[in-house]
Amino acid sequence: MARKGDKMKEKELGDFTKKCRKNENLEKCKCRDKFLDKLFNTYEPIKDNLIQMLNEIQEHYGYVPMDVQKELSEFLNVPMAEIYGVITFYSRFTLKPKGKYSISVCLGTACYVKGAQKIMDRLQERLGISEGETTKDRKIFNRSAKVYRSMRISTSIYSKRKSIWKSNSKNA
Amino acid sequence: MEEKIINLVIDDLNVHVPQGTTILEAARTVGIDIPTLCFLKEINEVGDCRICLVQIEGRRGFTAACIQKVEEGMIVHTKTSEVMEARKVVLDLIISNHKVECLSCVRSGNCELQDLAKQFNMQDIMFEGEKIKHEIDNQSTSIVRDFDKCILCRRCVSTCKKLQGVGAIDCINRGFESSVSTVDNKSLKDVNCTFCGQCIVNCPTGALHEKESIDEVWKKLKDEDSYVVVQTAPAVRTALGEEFGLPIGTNVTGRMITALKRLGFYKVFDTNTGADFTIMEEANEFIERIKNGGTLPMITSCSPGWVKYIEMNYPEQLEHLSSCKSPHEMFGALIKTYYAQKEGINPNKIFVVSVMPCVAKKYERQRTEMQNDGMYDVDCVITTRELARMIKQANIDFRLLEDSKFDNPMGVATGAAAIFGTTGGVMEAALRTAQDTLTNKDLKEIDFEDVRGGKGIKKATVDIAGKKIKVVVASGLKNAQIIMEEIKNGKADYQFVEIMACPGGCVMGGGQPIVNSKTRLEKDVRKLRADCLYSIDEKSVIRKSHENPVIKKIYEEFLEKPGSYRAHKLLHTKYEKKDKYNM
Repeated sequence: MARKGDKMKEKELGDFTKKCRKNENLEKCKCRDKFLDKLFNTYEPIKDNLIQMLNEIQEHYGYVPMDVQKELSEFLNVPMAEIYGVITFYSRFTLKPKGKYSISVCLGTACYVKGAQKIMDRLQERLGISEGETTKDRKIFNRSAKVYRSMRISTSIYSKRKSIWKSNSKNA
Repeated sequence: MEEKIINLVIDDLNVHVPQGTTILEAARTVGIDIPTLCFLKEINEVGDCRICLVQIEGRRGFTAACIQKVEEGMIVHTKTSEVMEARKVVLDLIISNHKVECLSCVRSGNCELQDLAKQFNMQDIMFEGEKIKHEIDNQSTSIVRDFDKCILCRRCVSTCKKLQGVGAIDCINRGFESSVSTVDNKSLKDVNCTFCGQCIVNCPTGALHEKESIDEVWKKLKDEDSYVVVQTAPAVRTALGEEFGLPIGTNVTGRMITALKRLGFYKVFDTNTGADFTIMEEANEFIERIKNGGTLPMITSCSPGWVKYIEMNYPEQLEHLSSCKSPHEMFGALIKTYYAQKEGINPNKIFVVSVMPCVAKKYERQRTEMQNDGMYDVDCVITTRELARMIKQANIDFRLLEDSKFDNPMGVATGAAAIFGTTGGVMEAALRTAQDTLTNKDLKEIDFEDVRGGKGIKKATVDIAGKKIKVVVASGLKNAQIIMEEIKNGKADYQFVEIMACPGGCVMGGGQPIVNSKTRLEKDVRKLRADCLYSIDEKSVIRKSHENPVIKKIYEEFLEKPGSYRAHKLLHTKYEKKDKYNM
């Protein structure tokens, strides 16, 4: 059996998550040890649990901090390079804190042809951050995405899974 | 149970092979050579590079021959024009993101990608597109990573993770940005790398190579004020010839010495003599531990990759490790003390170069423990490959050289020391000396066949002076891990353990000439090189370390006896816990 308690996320970690998300300085999260204790008690130290545990960590901190990766590596007896490989493979996991709102700019072929890169550049200039980064007030997280649902629309920006802006080449 | 035989047709030839064979292997039985690149038998069988594409009748598209198992009645085509075209495109695409600088590449002439380009008659580069840029990592003492030359075959990743159980490198990012790297793209010096160098010998291109020290040696050789002394490890002489087109396992000891003298080294010594000292000290330490109830099992400490591994992964078990330095460090210490004194040379002017089959020795040399009176025991380490490069640079025709002998006063080594270069050799040599010491006799039965051979873990029971002593020989860090877990969990019922970081021991070390994957399928490289060492041992007049006249003399004149105060000061060291990751 891979896991002891399936409902860890909703029941026990729920409180932590809310508190930490409000915390301006996530790296110095006060409940860090408490959270990790809970996490390591809930899951068995086998490799199969890696992605699930990363998920919990991502939910809790809004990203996967380096020192937590190190502890996870020791707990699961999986080399850090492998964990890092998993984190960088899935776009769900990030190495830097995600903001409250996430903006995705579609850079798929059709959008790119219509000038999506210009929008991306402008956005980065306005927010003062580059791709994959978060503004200092942790409000906005900017990332590029390839191929969103409606390619025919051309040039779209998404936030909260809703299309917030569509354009054609004129207003781009 | 009898193996089921599968019948299939490859390029109109009927093939009968056991179930579970891949198309690649089946084709090779009838002389069809399907090209491969990422394929490394039993290490990397992932079908990643797609250069081995073949067509199977009744199936859409192409199949990777290195992973597709044969099936009854299969009809395979390996050289239709579609297959050839597909393979060519695969190769074109691989090269399109490869830093093509063959003229100045360290692997030029021994690169599997270059060989394929030749085989495919590449005349120009098909796709000139965006190339991914990485920074070269040359921060560590031993290994340089140049990932612009990486073709993402994952042979190094599999080697590090599966064969060695270390996992310092892995595939990170995805899509075009994918690369083989460490956690957070750190330098190898800041992660759990042991510097065994197995990734280098398994890399098909020049993406991984040793940190070269050739220039430093040339500079010193031209400096008239220094005495540049060289010593060569046992495994070097079995493999150096390969770099000059000689068959694998040719003993080139004599020619190597001549070449070293021609390069301008002041004296050429044999690390085997150092190995004899290691045996004296190690056997003595082992006997002391048995008599006085010291920590058992005792584990050998000749392999610097292994030492770094235990310091990082099992720091609480460090007491098991023998306190002996590795042979070349011991010998370096003796050159700068005993030899300097005898010849009346200022030890500060002696520059000791070690030729080693190993890249971890480059790291070991710089450890602060490896000093005596503020001087490093060894000043520079070069690999077998680097020595070959130096010989070529110096316009020496290696194959035509006459034989020479090692220099005195430390030019005698035993057969016991020669076999240090292969897995089980240190154990056998130590047992020969321990056996004679404990029984006070000159025993004639000195071949310990049980500890020989290529198996990863070998266990044996030896009868010494009425005592049954259980010994274990492990090579490859994955096997070392198994033994360490047994020791940690109190399941170890043995007293003496030999561990080598590289699978097969030093003959297969990370600094040895690189043998391509195809040759490795046809020949047992480890056995050929190891057999060469065993034949040196058999031909030796003196086959036990304690009978070496040089050893006897130096103990008499200088060190007193094994384990003495001076021996401890010069020939022993200590270990400490090391962090796996430097964050």
